[in-house]
Amino acid sequence: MSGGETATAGGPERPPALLEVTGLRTWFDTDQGTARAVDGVTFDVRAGETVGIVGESGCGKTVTSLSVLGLLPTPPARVLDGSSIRFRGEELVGATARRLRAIRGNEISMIFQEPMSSLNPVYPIGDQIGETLRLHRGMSRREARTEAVRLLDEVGIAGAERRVDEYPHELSGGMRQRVMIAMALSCAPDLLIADEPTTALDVTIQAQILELLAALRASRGMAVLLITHDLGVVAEVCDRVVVMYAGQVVERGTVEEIFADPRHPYTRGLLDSLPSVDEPGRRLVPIPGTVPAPTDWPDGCRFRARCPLAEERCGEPQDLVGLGREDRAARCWKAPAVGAGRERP
Amino acid sequence: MSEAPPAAAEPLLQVRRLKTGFPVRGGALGRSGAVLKAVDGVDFEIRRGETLGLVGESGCGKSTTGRSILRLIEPDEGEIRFDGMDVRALDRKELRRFRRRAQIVFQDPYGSLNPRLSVGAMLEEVLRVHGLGWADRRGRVVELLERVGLRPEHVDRYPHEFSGGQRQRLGIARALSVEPELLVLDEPVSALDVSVQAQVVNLLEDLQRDLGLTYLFIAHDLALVEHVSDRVAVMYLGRIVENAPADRLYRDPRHPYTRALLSAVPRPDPIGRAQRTRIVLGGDVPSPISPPSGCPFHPRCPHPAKDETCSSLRPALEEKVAGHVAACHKAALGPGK
Repeated sequence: MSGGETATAGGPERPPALLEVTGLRTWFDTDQGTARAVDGVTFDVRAGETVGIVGESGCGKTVTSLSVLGLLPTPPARVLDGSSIRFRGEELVGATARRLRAIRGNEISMIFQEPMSSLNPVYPIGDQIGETLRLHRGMSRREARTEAVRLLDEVGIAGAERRVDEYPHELSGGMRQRVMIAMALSCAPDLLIADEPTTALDVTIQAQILELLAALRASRGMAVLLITHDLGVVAEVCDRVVVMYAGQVVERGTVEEIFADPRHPYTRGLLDSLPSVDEPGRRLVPIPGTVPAPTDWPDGCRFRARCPLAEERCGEPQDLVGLGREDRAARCWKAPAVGAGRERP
Repeated sequence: MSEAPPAAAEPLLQVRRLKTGFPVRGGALGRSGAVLKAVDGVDFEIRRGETLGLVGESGCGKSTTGRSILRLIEPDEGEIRFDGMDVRALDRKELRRFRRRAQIVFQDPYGSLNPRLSVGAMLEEVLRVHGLGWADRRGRVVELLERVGLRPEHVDRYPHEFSGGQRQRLGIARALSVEPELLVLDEPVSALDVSVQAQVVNLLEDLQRDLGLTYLFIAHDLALVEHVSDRVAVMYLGRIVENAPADRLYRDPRHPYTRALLSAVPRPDPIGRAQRTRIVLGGDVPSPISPPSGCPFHPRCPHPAKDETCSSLRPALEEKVAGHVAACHKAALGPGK
């Protein structure tokens, strides 16, 4: 993988890249063989923007985010030579555990789908937020408590003064996710990685959390890398989108480009699988077949067996094809010809 | 099934004032005496060959409703009529006969398939329990597999050898094996990836068309429910708050909860997102152990005309427009936009 795709030569208005992932390959050695979970992934996140990584289960989106934070156990995981993850220009692949820990707490934070499994059930939530503050910001016990209350208030928990002493089980799912966000904010990170943050929540609570994330982004200028399978969520909150399939990026673009003018047949397939609000009776167009196993990606285009446009040439390895504007690309040789405008009802 | 157009068809299932509660553990000696009213007076009917979508957030009682109808959980009160028959009065033998006519498909196909039985053995077992002769069984199993889009050679495989979508096809094959008329579909595609969801939804639509099936489609995904349903009922804290033909419910919702729910659904339309007004409800769903007085939605209700009536008097389901009922004191009457 060459570093030729780093997006440092951006347009004049684009803010500088905060996170640049280039040619990332994270493989797992398993009994079934080598699982190439992430297999050459390149994208960037710029200051203050929200980038979505979208794809179905097994596409490698979560492994990508865990690789960025250096949170995968090695073995079985290994990040291959030639992979690069730069945060503000600093290479994180091969960085010391100590350095990674410092970055994780202070500059990049992460929230997960199931907050209950990230919270310690035997301590009040205030103590858990406070611990982060004392560890990373050197606050005293008293200062940490005051700051914990302020953070809980910032994430919209009513009666924060009282709630700070409650235990995780006393909170609803939405409240727990707010607590996780408060914890993630405690060190004022520049980048928040949110892995399916609303998947376990009901739709009205999901709306609350998405609104909170948008508000925090506006007030703090924090960038968000959102990992999700939900195209609706992507459309609601993201500026740019990275579509992943079978360990690779298959399409990148702005959120408008991805939804109004998808160029990769997989992206189109995902959108056509969704029930349409405008035309509820329209028959859904599923993608036939299933995702191949990560130990057994096909040669050539990995989507070929499920693709309605597949031809012989698709058996050759496919690179990301640039589509004019910087960062706009699709991993399909037909993408430039697929033309503008998806037929939409 | 029936030759008559759907609008004139008789209801296959009628549910009246259905209540199902669970004793709450806790308190001294584990007997708190409190009851969680999971289903608290539910009324609806489904016409033969139609799909009723039942939506609501977790804990609203939609799954308990589905299970109560089949008496997988015994209801405490109310009436369930299936094709004119009083389901709550059936004895054990009659209940088994009833369950040949009304089946359920669960969300997690893996959790509801026996891992030690091959597909063939599993389906034959169901056929045997329901009294099909041995000679017919093998042929019927192959027919079932083809019916749900699987291949005859799958008959000797075990559940773990199938993908999630294929497992859900197996769950559907098992339900179909006894040739039911009603299927309760309890979140049948929510564990599946979106591309595979569409495969299973299309299969369910084909089966309904070809076999004249009637569906109770329980789900939290509102866009999906709109797609599959003829009518949609919205539940909140154990009660139905609105029930209308699908297009009416989505275009002109009358209950403030339905409105908030619909406005909260993320839409795959980034260009329109700036113009959309979203009603974000405050707070969480209250506990069904001690639901609020009056209208159970009143503490979170954003309706501008909300008043003491709402906190003191429980609103009944009332027809707001022909065929469109809502349980709200303040919801507008008469035709809307």
